[in-house]
Amino acid sequence: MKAPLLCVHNLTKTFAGYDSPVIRDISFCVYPGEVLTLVGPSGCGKTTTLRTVMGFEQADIGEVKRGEEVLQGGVVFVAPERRKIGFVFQDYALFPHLSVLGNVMFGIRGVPKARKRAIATEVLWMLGLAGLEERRPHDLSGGQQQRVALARAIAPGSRIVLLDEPFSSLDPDTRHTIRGEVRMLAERAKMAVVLVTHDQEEALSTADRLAVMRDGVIEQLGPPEFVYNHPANRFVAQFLGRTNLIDCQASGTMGESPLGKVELERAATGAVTLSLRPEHLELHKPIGGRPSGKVIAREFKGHDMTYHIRIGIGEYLVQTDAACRFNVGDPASISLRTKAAIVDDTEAEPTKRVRLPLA
Amino acid sequence: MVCAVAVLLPLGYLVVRSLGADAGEVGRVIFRRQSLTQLTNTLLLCVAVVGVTTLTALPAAWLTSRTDLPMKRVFALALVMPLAIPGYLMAYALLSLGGDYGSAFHLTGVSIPRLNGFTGSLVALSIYNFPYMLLNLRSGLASYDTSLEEVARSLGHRPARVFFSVVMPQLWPSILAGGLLVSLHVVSDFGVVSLMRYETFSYALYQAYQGAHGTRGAAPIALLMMALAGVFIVAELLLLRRVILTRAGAGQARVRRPLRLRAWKMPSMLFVGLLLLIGLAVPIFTIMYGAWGTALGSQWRSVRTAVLDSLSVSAAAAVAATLLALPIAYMARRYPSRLSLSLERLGFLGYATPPLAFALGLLVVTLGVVPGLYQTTFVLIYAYSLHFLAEAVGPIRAGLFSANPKLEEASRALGVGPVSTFLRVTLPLIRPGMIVSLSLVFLSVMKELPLTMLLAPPGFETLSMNIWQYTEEAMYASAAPYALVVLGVSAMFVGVLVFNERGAA
Amino acid sequence: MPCFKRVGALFTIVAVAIHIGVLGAFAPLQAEELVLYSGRSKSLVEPIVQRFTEETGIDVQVKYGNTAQLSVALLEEGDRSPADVFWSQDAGALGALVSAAMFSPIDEPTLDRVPGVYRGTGGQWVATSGRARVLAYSSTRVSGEDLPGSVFDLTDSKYHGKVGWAPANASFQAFVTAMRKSHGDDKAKAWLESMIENQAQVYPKNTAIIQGIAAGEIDYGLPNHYYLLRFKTADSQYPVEQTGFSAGDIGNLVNVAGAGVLKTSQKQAAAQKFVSYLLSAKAQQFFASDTFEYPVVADVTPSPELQPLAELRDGAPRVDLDSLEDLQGTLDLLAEVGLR
Repeated sequence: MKAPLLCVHNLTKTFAGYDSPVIRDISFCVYPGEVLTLVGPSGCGKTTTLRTVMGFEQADIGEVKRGEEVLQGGVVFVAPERRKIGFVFQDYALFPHLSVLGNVMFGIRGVPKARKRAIATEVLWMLGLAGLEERRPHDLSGGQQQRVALARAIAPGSRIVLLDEPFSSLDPDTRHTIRGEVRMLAERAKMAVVLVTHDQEEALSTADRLAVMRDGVIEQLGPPEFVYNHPANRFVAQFLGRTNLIDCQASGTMGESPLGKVELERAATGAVTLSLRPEHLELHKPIGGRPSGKVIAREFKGHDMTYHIRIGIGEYLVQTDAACRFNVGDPASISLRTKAAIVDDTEAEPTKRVRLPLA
Repeated sequence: MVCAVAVLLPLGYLVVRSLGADAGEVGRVIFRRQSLTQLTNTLLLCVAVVGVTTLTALPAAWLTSRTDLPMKRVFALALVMPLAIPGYLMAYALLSLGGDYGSAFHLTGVSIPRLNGFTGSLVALSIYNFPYMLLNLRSGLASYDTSLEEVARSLGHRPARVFFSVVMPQLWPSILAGGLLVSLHVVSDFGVVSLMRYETFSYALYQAYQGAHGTRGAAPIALLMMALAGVFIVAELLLLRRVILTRAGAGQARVRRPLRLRAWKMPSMLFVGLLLLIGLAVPIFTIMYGAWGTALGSQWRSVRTAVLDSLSVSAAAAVAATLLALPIAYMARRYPSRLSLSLERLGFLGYATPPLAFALGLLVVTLGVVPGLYQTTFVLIYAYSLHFLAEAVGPIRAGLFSANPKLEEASRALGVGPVSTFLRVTLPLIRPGMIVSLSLVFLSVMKELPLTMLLAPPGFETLSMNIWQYTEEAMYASAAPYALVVLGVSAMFVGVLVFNERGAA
Repeated sequence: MPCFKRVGALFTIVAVAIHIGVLGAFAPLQAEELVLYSGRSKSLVEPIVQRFTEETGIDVQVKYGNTAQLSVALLEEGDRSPADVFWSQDAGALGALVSAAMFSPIDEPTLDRVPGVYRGTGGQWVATSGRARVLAYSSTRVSGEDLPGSVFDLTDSKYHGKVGWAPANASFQAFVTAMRKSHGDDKAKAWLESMIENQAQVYPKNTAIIQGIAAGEIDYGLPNHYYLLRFKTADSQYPVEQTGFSAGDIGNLVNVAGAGVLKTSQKQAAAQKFVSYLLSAKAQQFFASDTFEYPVVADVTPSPELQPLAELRDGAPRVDLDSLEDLQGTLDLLAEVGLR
């Protein structure tokens, strides 16, 4: 595997006047061509993490390395302007007094002006902004401003780009396009991109790897499909999308749940919690050997359908195809399409957290 | 830090002078029966002037910035013009208008009552201070978030209610900042209240300096005035803290559509016209009336010298004050701490120090520390720039409020160091604010009298010194050309001020 | 980018201006150059100074200011004062500097040009022009029989609320000092208190009193004599007249403007020359005809609007001008009755 472009180890930061740290023990690495997404509810410390990596904030302890060079660690603290890292702000922070070209040329240094212009023009062209060079930021649409901000961040040749909530004020279509562009940029230019968002759908769709944060801590880090299907705890399970959290008595790879017998993804003993996403479940007419309940509601979503089923005292969500085979009031029972994921709900024991190896 | 010491020097001088006087005398000066009257009068005048300027400047600022009032740029320019008229000239103009032998009587044959006392002071000081409030409110209106106004409308509030429930709260910081400036002016004004014969603290201070060939009696009064100013300064700070200032929003501010006045257009024009008539036409008319038949030619050389003297110190002081204000405002805004905020407040204290006391303090210090610089224009410029520091800090601070600190971080992230960032990003962003600072200080120095009189080198005569000297000797015709030149030069700078507002908006 | 051009232009103007300012600050003082602190306004000083320079080649740099403030500045400056000559608007301020021993004596020949009453203690200053206190009154609302014979009559109830005075004015204060010296502190205090009781209206200065009479705010006022003449020059219809009180009344006090040479001056000879010039016929004629003041030398006649010098001197009360330096006593008295 290639060497990481950016590595962060055990970053911890407490703001002056606060008792508890705003980020604690944050560690991750980012590789060339990779998009790492930090996702979490607002106030979870994801932006602070990004600002600390950039050097806008100074961490109390921990280390930041660009390749082999230490940017922060021990007595070393490299000023933001010497870190060779690009940064894109949530509200873009384009210089209102400069033209688009002026903004993009701003950070290019050490070359003659003509060369700067050539580089900036090329970057603008690459991001589909050709022809807008002389415009002022306030004459641009939100998507264009976003692209200029991105162009400005990469124009100096930084191979690492940090994006703070970059798509939050864009309309869904533009958001979709630019997301794709960021991914493409990362792959083509072999850049390392760290992206912060509070939107789980955005996180899942943009990330090569995903770090779910809560209260200043990374709860789980891994490829999005893994984290989605095998959440480490209730929080991660619920944050990334709708799920059924089901109590279960496990013995070995089988468990006894209110839905009936279920097959577990790994062996366990005693009371455990399962995370079963609606699409992991299947709806049947009542069949023998499985508890049955009643359809209490259904949501038609065009390409699929979600049923609310009451079995006993519990209510469960099941996603099916778009054909309406059940009506409200119909009896039904539920089976599993896959093995059930066990959610480690003992947050007091962080050692049990599922973590993929860093490198 | 250096600024702090410099501002505190005159204050220290006052304290030393007060201590030098025996305690009995200080007590006698402070606890006289007039003191209470003077305190009441000063406070009454402050409240009234702030009230009147707010109530008149608010609609004027709104009409000239948010509506489709015809020629609103011209109106805005004209409304700020009273800034160029020294307060004592304004009072004189109002006085000579009324009475049995006033200019109104000469023109129409009808004698209108002569303004004096509380009413006279209120009218003159309100006109004089109106532009300061107007400028503050206009910048407030320029930067405020109209979408909130629209939200309130969508929630079913009538426009009038929207104004009080949404617009006013957003304008509070501007009103407070303007109010502070205005009340400091009122506390320290001497020219207007003496001509209008209304007894305030500054009047008492003038009397004390006028007679005593020593400053024993004056120092305690000066300290008392500064204490009063200090109360205003702290009060503004406390009130400001309760106001939520920041505007959250992504991207660039939207371009706003002016509100249509429709049937209100004529009444609005009349209102603004009336303000202009009182604030601008009356004083200019009075000066022209005095200048009638003067042979300008004979005074041309003297006027030219005075213009050069005035311009050289005004411009230099404007630059010096702005340069001093820059780090102070920057520190207070970007690194708010007790120290940086106190520094900023100290600027206001320098503003509130009675100029005579300020000048005497500086005189003593200069003689003691750098006698070689005594009575050079350096000391004069130094005095101006410290005295008017607050006028320079305000607009720069406002500029920094609207310049998103993220922009500076963005520059740092692009590999540009802190100093270059300041030069390449921060400075261009606050340039409109800096130009307002330059212009305000420039205009103030053009009008300034007490500091100039005491600290100017021999042979150095500003326009305002000439105006004062001729009016003092009842030679109004000779004073008129100087007054007209002050108006003309100032008008140019007021123009710069107003035209730059758009850049800032 | 028109905005930047404008800003650039502004800064250029400013830079040029600083340049001028700096040059001004460093321009070395020429050898034969006097520094005059003038409590008298430019219009009363500049023509004389120009003629003096033309005739002697000695350049004079004037620092104009308010008499009281300049005397405060001189006291603060002490022996580091750059001033060579102090030309004061009233005798009181000169007296204060005499007390601080800041003057050197005026040359004998200069002193000899004026009567003894117009000299300071030990000849430390000399009067340059006379300024009489008068009663100004409205020519439309006041008839001859209403005019008081003495300044003490103004406490009569028929003048209730109709008299204007300027307690902060140096000339007025000198007048009160004279009243204290000739009639005693008690009588002066009683007069002040009766005047306050009689609702005397406070004005900041002499010109304001005269304008107040014209405007109809008051009917009488106690200013110096020359202001009204200047109003009359601009407008001969000006509805105010002035008169003296009965001969010898303290209300007719003749105060003086005067000049002294600073002991610390490095240019004593030039400074003495300047003071002497102020008593020359030319200068005295200027005061008489252009500023409407009274000349102090015998061979110059006052302006035709004014009474002859002899008459003025006869009508004036006998007051030793040196005694006017007891300003502090007057200020204390004014404070006591609530006028300060």
